Amino acid sequence: MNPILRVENVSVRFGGLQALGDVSFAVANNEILGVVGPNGAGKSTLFGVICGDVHPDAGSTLLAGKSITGKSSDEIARSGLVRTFQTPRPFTTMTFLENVTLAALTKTNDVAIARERARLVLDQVGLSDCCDRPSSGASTGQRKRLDIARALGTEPSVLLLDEPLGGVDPGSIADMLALLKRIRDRGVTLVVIEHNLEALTGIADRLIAMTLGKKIADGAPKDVMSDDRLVRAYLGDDDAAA
Amino acid sequence: MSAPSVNKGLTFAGSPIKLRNIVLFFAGVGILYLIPQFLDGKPFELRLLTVIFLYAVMGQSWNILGGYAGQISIGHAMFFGLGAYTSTIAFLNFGVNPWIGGLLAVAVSALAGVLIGIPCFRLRSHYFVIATLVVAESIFLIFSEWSFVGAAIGLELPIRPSGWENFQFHRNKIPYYYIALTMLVVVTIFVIWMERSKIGFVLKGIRDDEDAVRSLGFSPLRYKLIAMAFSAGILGFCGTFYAQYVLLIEPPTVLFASISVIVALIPIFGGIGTVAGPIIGSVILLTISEYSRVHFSGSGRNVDLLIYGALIMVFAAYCPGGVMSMISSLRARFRKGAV
Repeated sequence: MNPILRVENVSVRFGGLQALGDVSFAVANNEILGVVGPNGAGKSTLFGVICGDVHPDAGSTLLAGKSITGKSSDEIARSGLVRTFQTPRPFTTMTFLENVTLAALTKTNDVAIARERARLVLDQVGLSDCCDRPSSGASTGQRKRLDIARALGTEPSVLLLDEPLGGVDPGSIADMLALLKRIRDRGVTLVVIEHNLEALTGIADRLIAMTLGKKIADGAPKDVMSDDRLVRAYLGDDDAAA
Repeated sequence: MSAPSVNKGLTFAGSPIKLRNIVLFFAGVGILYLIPQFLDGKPFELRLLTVIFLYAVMGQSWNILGGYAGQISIGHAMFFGLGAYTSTIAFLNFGVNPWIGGLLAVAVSALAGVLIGIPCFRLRSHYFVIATLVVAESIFLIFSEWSFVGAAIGLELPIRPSGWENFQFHRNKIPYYYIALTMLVVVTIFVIWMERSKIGFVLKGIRDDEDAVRSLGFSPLRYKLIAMAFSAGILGFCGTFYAQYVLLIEPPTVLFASISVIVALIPIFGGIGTVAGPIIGSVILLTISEYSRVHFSGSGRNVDLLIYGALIMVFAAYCPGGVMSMISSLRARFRKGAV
């Protein structure tokens, strides 16, 4: 395994709550890693730690072998690790194209070059028809794609996707999954939090399962999905036994 | 990703620009440069236009920080005052030519903006607004007590022979008009460039969602400080202009909170975050202010503020985006009607 991202013994405590407890895992280059677990499992906190929004009480994170622990989120993004948000956050006074152009400006000072790159990215995510539309009027599905396009505009090596299928209508889920695969095929490593386990299992190379801030399973999607601890985490001990 | 090809066409700072807009802009500027030929013996109109240009520049400078970056300041009088005091003190104590003093004023105000911005930008929203007010009031109080800067009495510039070299014009005030207009043209072109450049994109992103901008790899603090330096520096030169125009500066005329409010009100009224907004806001509000000051004599100051207040309330209720947003929605309706 050639890990591009490594999380080592990370712990986070919010007052009396242990949000993450000694979590460790590695993500191989060009892998799609799914992160699953019920609400409150610590998935979003884990994302926060990786991308620098949350500073861990213990442990470290490494990107391509270099420590990114304690760095600010903008520094980490400049290193090539970019996130999307659970609730998409487009720049609402801008058009779709301007949103992605801004992202592409992380790689160039030339607005014309950034704009052309943004057009390419919007085309890749299936939003080429929306270039000049204001992003304030975007549907949830379009916002999700725009969020991904914006992240891709920065040309990341690792992309953290927080519930990319959340709010997407069932008919568009297959398209979204195909998009995620295409992104991986272009050499981007994906770490995906998702509650649609069936869909995630279809594209992930590996899953880690979490509950109450701890990693409880790590392995092939089929193995993790059939792991009793994950079933109990979602359904509770009584229901799982039934 | 390979480097894409770039569309050829008329561009400015990497963004497309319409030839029609360039022609209209320079035609308008040309007309404004010709206007003084028709203002001989009309000192009120000359003064009105000069003041409109000055306040439009001040509005543009506020708009860089407040309109584009979304950092609402109600303490911008401090940069205006610092500029006025810098060039005046440099002239009175060291004999520095006011033009050089103006450049010093830009540097001092910009530096002050950065130094004030570093702690204040840790705050967001209302807390940032309050911080700018508190800092500006502190500077006002310090200058009101500090004998080196003339304390509450202020500083008087000695009268020198009229001429460009002294930045003083006594009988014929037309050169002040040209200087103010040139300031407006230069600053407006600068703002158009900035709006279309990388800086403009990032500032607008910060205004919409600072955390999202950070998540892409930009440092919001860095860009807010750049905006603050631009904004404060421009106001610094405006302060020098004012000092050379009036030849007397004192805390209530160059550092008082009402200046901060008016400077913010101009772009808010005209159209926040737009290039034309501060110009439109200045034309309307300064015209009301100057005419009410003249026609209502001693009580004029209060009347113009009453009218300001009424206008702002009407616009806040019916057109919160200012005059420019009203124009945009009227245009959209007209186009819809035409279709």
